[in-house]
This record gives sequence, structure tokens and C-alpha cells, in this order.
Amino acid sequence: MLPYDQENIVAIATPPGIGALAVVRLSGKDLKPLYKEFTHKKPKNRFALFTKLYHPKNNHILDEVVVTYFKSPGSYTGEDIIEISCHGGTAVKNSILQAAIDGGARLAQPGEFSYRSFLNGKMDLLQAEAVSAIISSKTSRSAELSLYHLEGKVSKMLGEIKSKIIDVLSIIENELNFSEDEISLTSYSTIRSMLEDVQTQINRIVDSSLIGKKIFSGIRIIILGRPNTGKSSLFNALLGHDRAITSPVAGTTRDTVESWFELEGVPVCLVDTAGVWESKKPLDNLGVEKTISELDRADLCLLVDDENPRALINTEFMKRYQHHYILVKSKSDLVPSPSIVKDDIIFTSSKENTGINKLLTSISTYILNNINLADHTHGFMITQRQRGLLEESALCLNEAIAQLAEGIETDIVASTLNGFVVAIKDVVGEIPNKAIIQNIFSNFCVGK
Amino acid sequence: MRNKSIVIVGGGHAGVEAAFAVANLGIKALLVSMDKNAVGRMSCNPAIGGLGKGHLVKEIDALGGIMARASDACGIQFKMLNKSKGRAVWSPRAQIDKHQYAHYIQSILSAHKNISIIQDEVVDFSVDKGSVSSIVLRNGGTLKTNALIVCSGTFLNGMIHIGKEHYSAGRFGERAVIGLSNAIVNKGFKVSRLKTGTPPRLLSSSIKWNKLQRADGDEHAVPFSILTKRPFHPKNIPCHIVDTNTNVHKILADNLHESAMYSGKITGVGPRYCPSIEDKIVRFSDRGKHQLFLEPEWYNSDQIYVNGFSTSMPKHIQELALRSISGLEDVQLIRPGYAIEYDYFPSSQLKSTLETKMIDGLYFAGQMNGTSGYEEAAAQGLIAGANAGLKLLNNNSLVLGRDMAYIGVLIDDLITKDINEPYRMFTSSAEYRLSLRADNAGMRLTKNAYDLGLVKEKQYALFNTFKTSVSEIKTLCNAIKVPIDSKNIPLTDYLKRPKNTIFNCNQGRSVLEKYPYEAIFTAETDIKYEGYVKIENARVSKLMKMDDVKIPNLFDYSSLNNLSSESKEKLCRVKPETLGQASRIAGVRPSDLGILAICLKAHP
Ligand SMILES: Nc1nc2c(ncn2[C@@H]2O[C@H](COP(=O)(O)OP(=O)(O)OP(=O)(O)O)[C@@H](O)[C@H]2O)c(=O)[nH]1
Ligand SMILES: [Mg+2]
Repeated sequence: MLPYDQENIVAIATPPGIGALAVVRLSGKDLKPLYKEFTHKKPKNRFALFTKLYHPKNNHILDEVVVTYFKSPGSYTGEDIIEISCHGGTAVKNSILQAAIDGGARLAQPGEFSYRSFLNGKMDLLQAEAVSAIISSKTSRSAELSLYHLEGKVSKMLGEIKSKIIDVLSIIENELNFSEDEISLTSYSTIRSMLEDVQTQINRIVDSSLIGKKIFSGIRIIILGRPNTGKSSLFNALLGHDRAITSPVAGTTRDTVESWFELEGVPVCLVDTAGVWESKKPLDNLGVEKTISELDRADLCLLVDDENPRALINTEFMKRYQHHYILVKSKSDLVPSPSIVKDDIIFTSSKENTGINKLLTSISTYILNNINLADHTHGFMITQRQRGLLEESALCLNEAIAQLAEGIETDIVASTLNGFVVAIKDVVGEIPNKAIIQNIFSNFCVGK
Repeated sequence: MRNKSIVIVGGGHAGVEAAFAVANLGIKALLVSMDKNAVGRMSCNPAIGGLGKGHLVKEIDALGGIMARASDACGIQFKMLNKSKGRAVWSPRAQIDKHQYAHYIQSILSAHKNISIIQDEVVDFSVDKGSVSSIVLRNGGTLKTNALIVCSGTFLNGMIHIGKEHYSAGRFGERAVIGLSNAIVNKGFKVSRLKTGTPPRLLSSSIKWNKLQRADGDEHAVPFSILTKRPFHPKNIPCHIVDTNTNVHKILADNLHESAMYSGKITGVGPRYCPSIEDKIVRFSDRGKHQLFLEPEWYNSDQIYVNGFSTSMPKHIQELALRSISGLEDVQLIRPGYAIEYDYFPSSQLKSTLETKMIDGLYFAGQMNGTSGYEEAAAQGLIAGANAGLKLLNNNSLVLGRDMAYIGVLIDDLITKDINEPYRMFTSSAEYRLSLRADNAGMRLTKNAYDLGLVKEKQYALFNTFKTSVSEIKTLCNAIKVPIDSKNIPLTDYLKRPKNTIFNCNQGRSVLEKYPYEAIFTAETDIKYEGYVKIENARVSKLMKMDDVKIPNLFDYSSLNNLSSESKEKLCRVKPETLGQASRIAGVRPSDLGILAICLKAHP
């Protein structure tokens, strides 16, 4: 775990590399003295000051900068923060960093700014996980979802769901706490319909969380076809650069090859496989196992053939794969006038780079149809941990409803519903868990 | 241990259990009571047990306490409450002959060679090097002691209110204790006020019984204590039920200003769960009637307790209101209801052993810790007595986890929760409710209590017989096959289905009916609940992991600058013993617990 101290910490907040501007950020309990040493002025809260920056000890001028002071507790970390926007050169950045260290600050650990923010109650666990996700997010879309978390909307929504179940629980508890003589009992059907109401809500979140998962973990697209039909060439054409080895010898690709790119803001993993259709006995020769296991993980399948891709759809294939597929006829440059029905087949030529954009558009359409990106209202669970707990909570709820239907007594139903409440509490971090906190913040990079 | 002794102040239910536990550990117990004849007296309702409370009584018995056996000996009606709900919340309750009860307790105590009852009043005590060293009696001078257990109930600065009248008293007809509370406060303890009410007592012969609805006890009574002889055939004296009506409510409403509570006479906070009748008509103004139970205070009693009508109205209003009830037209009051206001010491000043955090060898138990009810008091008395004794013996202390007993829940709640009304035991306070059944209290607690010396040989032998029966029955349930849908399934599987029991299955009954009913019940319930208990345990242990993280006694919260000020204030005040306790203090934020967890790692 990170040390927990009150020291002033400093880091370069902008990503490494040459940018026009860089930001050096400091956080600490009281940064007023350091601010005065840097600027020779008194700090004003949230005021961006254009100034010469002085070295705190020897008063040398370091750069012309914009310095902003954020007073505690109304800052990101909950402490005093100084942000120095300076020129982007490595030498300048480093000299300011060194000056801050000379002025008594120490280099921040990875994630330490956010960590302090979390510890100061500025963000809850979901928000912390969102920061972590933004930092490591592969695409713009996943960052967008994380921001939704950062605003605390998901926590709030889960909070509302939790309090609905607590309402139901308090009805049940009240009845358990008083004897039959003292109070009249609420009917099972009333309790049941209250639970079903929440069940609908939770299921919606669980469903959209699967989509959320895709947005973070990506969509897998597998290229499938007979040997030597141009699969690897298509793979390279889609990526826009050569990645897989191609050759006129059948069976060139022995192992699967994968590569990532982004489409519609969603990470896509394209997988090239060894050709598996030997004569009329598909999926039964060597090296096939690997391809079959890829098939199991795939969200979308490109069925490639230089003659008739439709012929690849046979019962064996259907048995193994139920998701969406796209039919692709390769090497279309070799057939001037196609003889097969082409409505649902995309003609491509990797050699002449034709039809590739059409294929990409078709993949985009699939993504947009299957991942309803506009529909953020239910919120997404962005980490495995969150999704696991949410599914656990949904199971508890289903179980409780089933128990009521079976006529199982309410002491047991209450226990099951408490399981729901605990799972939700765990998602939003109401149950402090050191290991999880540690894990999240160790993902962070310096300066965030 | 010859020369070691422990002084117990107060002969109520807490004091009695404390003295008994101390004595059973082989240490001299000096029980100081202002009135020898008041020892073991039931000052309020003539009943023991009830929802949540019945669980406590069973646990007291499992720990070698006295309340359960006394209730069995003096009960005049037994009833299992909540039978329409799950078995985890079934709670035994009994109507008690109050006179017989006090006699029974007094005879057990005076027969015990380690117990002496001193008729006097403790007015002060001395502390030497942080430990209690001696007490000062009003009449008997100074007495050296190794520990002091204060169980003074509602007596500390007690004040009785009836309408606009009020006077100093401990209970009706008994003097309040004035000096001791000040002595405790002078040692630096925080004190606060609570109040509780009691209903009027009616003259039996003035009631038209034939107009009332009769309420009998269970035909097959189940005793509280394992020591009680089976078969058990106690008396079954009926109670009676009567409803209030809108006339009654109007009389009370019109005279609210006369109520001690409503006229602002009482500053202490009253219980929400056992509210006064004036409270009920104000809060549930839409209800046209409230149920009252007329309970005999002893066998052939001429004095009737009106359960549900606790009040601090003037006597003539009480009479007027009651006489508007059908059947009570000519009712005579033997004694009016009254409210009593008393000092209590917020229990965040106590450790889980009920020893004070500030002074070694000083223990508080019972109503002065902010609880209501005989059972809650007795449970604390037992724990305080046991721990005071075990400490003198240099033995392990008796701290029951929230997963082990309602008593554990009770004490942990007292220490960590802010109490602003008298605390009453509810089953909903127990996270591990499915495991903490009334019928399995012995299974949970007796072995440990025996090892510590609290449970004696005779009880332990009875317990082992019971335990063996239960496990034999379970083995047989696996072996016996029941034909269901043309298949033979083990009886165990059959029992897991809702509503199925050993007795409604021929194959089960014929083999198992030779076992005692209670063993069958426990085995059957264990089987039924097994799966659910597993799930519950897994879930709750996630929450309870924090209980394993100890917080050092002198932990300095003020050094943790990043704690929110509210959390810091609460933590400094309560000084929780574990991270788990800290997490149960209302108003301590999860993120603050995160900080605490991290800092505890840093200072091992
Ligand atoms: N004319 C033409 N030739 C192509 C096209 N795509 C691939 N080829 C040729 O077809 C041969 C096989 O191409 P690959 O991409 O290696 O085929 P593959 O399906 O990956 O083959 P294996 O990995 O061996 O199964 C090579 O000689 C390619 O140059 C195309 O669009 N037009
Ligand atoms: Mg290839």
C-alpha cells in the first residue's frame, strides 16, 4: 500500500513526450508557503496567474508559466493543489520538478493524487475504479463510460436500488420483530411485486454491463476459411499494414495471429486463423483445436472463401457457432463477373484494396447494432469485480422471489435479500476492502 | 481464591446473574442490595422471554445462568411466539409468578456457598493504580474488593413521574440510589438520562372477565432450561385480551398535557418499541384500537398487569380511560402506571467484557447501560460476572462474537451504536440470524462455558446427551429413505423441502419418535437450514473480516489528519477494539475505515 503521510507531493501530470505545454502538479496539506516562494505573490483560490516562476531556494527564474492554486478541501485531492502549466520541453519540465523537490516536495507515487482524493472522501470506490479505467482505457468510448462513473451517477443509481430493497427488508423485519398478535402481515404478493420491480432494473444493468464489458475488453472478430483462400491477406488489408505472413503455399498460417484496432470507439481484436476446411470434412484436422477455441470466444466471424463463402456454412459450423457472421468472397480481382448471388456477400480484393471499406462498414454496423452506445441511462459496470458482484446481487434477488413463491419462511427470504444488499454495498465500496483499494491504485500512473 | 472477592451492586436480574457467575467460578460474590427481599424481583411485566428476548434466555441457560431455570420453575403459562414464521425467529415466552420467582432466586443464591447478600448501599468506591480497590457502604464502612460490578438498574438518581407529580424513587415503593451515580461521574464517566414506563395494575375482582377474550398458552409447553425435568407439565393459566377504542383514545388525547412525558417533565428519551399508550395514540392516530393483554402477576393473583398500557398520566385519567373499555367499566387500580427516569452510562465507555475502558476491575451491566428488559439485563450481568471472575483467575475472557450469540450482538451494539432510547433485543439486529436459533443455544455456547467453569457437570452431561441424540437423528435421516414420485430419497432431502417434517412422514416418525421432541426439532431444523446458513455465513463473513483487525488501545486518531471530523470524533469517543466495531459505529465513513485499515497496518 502507498504510504499515508502528509508530505507535499509533485509529479508531471501530462503524458511523457514532447507536447507544446506540460503541467506539473503538487498536492499537500498546506502549499501557501511554497506558492509564495514560486510566484512571490499570495495565492488566490482557483485563480490562474500568469507569472514568472522562481526557484524556491535560489530565486532563479525558471520559466514563464500559468500557476493555479486550489485551496483545500475544495480540490481534486482534498488538499491544497498547485498546478503549473509550463512549456513542454523536457528540460523545462524537469527543472520545475526539481525546484518543487528542492522546495520540500517529494515525487508522487503512481496513483497517489487519486489515492489521496479517495482517502479524503472526494471519490468513492466506483469513481476510483473509473479513474483507473480511464487511465488504462483502450479507446475513447471506454473513457466516456468511465467518465459516467466519475460523475457518481452509477453509485447513485445503485444506491437507489439498494434503498428500495432495504425498504422491502424493513417491512419483513418489522413483521419478524413483532408477534402475530401485535401487527398485521403484509401480503406475499405485495412484497413480491416490490422485488420484481427491482429485478427488472437490475437485469437491465446486468445486460448493459455485458455491453460495457465489450467496450472495455473489446470485440473479437475471427477470420475463418479454407487454406490458401487469402485470409491472412485480408487480415493485413483490414489492419492497413502487414502483420500476418502470406504466401501461395497452403497452410502458411499455423497458429492464430491477432491484432487490435479501434472501430466506433470500441476496441476490436481481429484474429487470423489457420485454414480449417479440408475437403468436405470441416473442423477435423490438425491445428484445428486452436481455431475451435477461438470460435468459442468470438463475437463475430468473417467467413472467407475465394469461391463461395456460403459453402462454409454447414451443420458442423452451425453447431459450433451461433453468433453473427459476415460472408466474404476474397480475391475478387480474379473473377471479373461473379457468378454467385451476392446480396449478402461482400466482395474483396486484398491485392487491389477493393471492398475492404465496405467490409469495415459492415463490421461497424454490427457494432452499432449490437452495442447500444447511446443508451447509457442504465449505467455500466466497468470492471470484472463490479460485474461479478452485480450478477451475484441479481442471483440473490431471483432466489428471494423464488423462495417467496415456494412459501419459504421470511427469515430465510430476509437472509437472501441481505445478500443482495451486501453485494451492492460491495460494488460501491461501502465495505472497505484493502486488497481492492490497493489493486486499483497500483494501476494508476504518476500524476493522476 | 479464598481471599478474593467481587462486589456486585444491585440484586436485579443483572446483579443476580453476575453474582451467580462469579460464585460458579469459585470466587466470593458479595451482592449488595438495599433490600434483601427485593433480590430477584420482577419489577415490571410478569413475563420472561418473547421475540429476541427468548433467545437471550436460552443463551443465558446455555452459559450456566439462572434466569431460564427460574422461569421454568415459576412459569404459569408457556408459549412459543412467531410459530407462523421461520424457525430461526421462533421465540419462547412464559408468564411468571413474580412472587415465586423472587423466592426461587433468593433461595438459589442463599444456598450457594460463595454468595453473600449484604443489605446496604454502595455510596462510593476507591481506585488504586487504575484498578478498583474498595467500596464504601452507607452503613457498613469500607470493604476491600478485587472488582466491582455495578448493576443498579433504574435506581441511579431514579425519578418517578405520575402526571404532574414526581418524586425520587428507584422503583415503585423503593428508594433511589443517589450517591453512587455521582461517584461514578466523579471518576470521569459520561452520564445521560433515559426513561421507561410501566402500566397500571388492576384489581382482578373488579374486572368482568366473561366479557374478555381468553388467550391460553401452548398445550405442549417447552421449557427454557436444559436442567428442567422432562416431561414438562407446567400450569397453563390464561391471559385475556381486550381492545381500546376511540373513546379511550379521546380521553387520553384530551389530557395529553397532563402526561408527564408530554408536558415536558421528562428529559430522558423513552423507548420506541414499547411505547406508552399516549405515544401510541399520537403516533398511530389512524388506528381505532390497540390490543391490551391482561396478565396475572402471580398464580391466583388479585393483581393484573395491563400489557400495552404503559403511561405517565395522572391516576384519575388512567382510571377514566380504562373504564371506557368493555369489561373494565368498574375497574379499580391497585397502583397507577408511571414513568421512571434514571441515569445511564453510554456503553461506548465499556469493553466487550463489560469492564470499563477507564478503570480496571469496574464493570457495568444491565439497564444502567441503556437497555430495557429483564433478559437484556440478565445477559449482561452474566457476561460481566463471568469476565470479572475470569480476570481474577487469569483465564481467557468470555467475549461472544456476533456470529455466536444474541448476547454478542447485544453487547457489541451497546458499545458501538449511539443509543437514544432503551435498547431492546431484536432478531433483526443479528447478521447471523439463521444460525442463532433459540433451540440451538446450547450447541453454540455450552462447551465453551463448561471449559471456563460456568457450566457445571450435571448440565454438561444433559447437554452431551442432547447433542448425541441430535447427531444420531441426523445420521438416521441420511439412512432412512422416503418414497417420493416413485423414487426413494433420503429423509434428509425430503426435510429440506418447505413444510416437510419428520412427524408428517411415516418412515421418519416410526424410527425417530423414540427420541426426545427437542432433539428431533433441533436436528430437523439444522437439516432444513443447513444450506441457507452456509450462504449466510459466507456473505456475512465478508463483512466480519474486519473484526479480526485489532485496534491498539491507545491508538491516536488525532494524528490521522485525513479522517473526516465526524468520523474522528466518533472514533475518539468510542475507541473501538477492532476495525469491525469501528465499521459499525454510525457516522463513520467507509473511506475513513480505509484510512484506518491502512494506518493500522503501518503501526502494528
Ligand atoms: N489475386 C489475388 N491474390 C490474392 C489475394 N489475396 C491473397 N492472394 C494470394 O493468395 C495466396 C494465399 O494468400 P494468404 O493470405 O496467405 O492465404 P491464407 O488463407 O492465409 O492461407 P493459409 O494461411 O495458408 O491458410 C497468396 O499467394 C496471396 O498472394 C487477392 O485479393 N487477389
Ligand atoms: Mg494465412
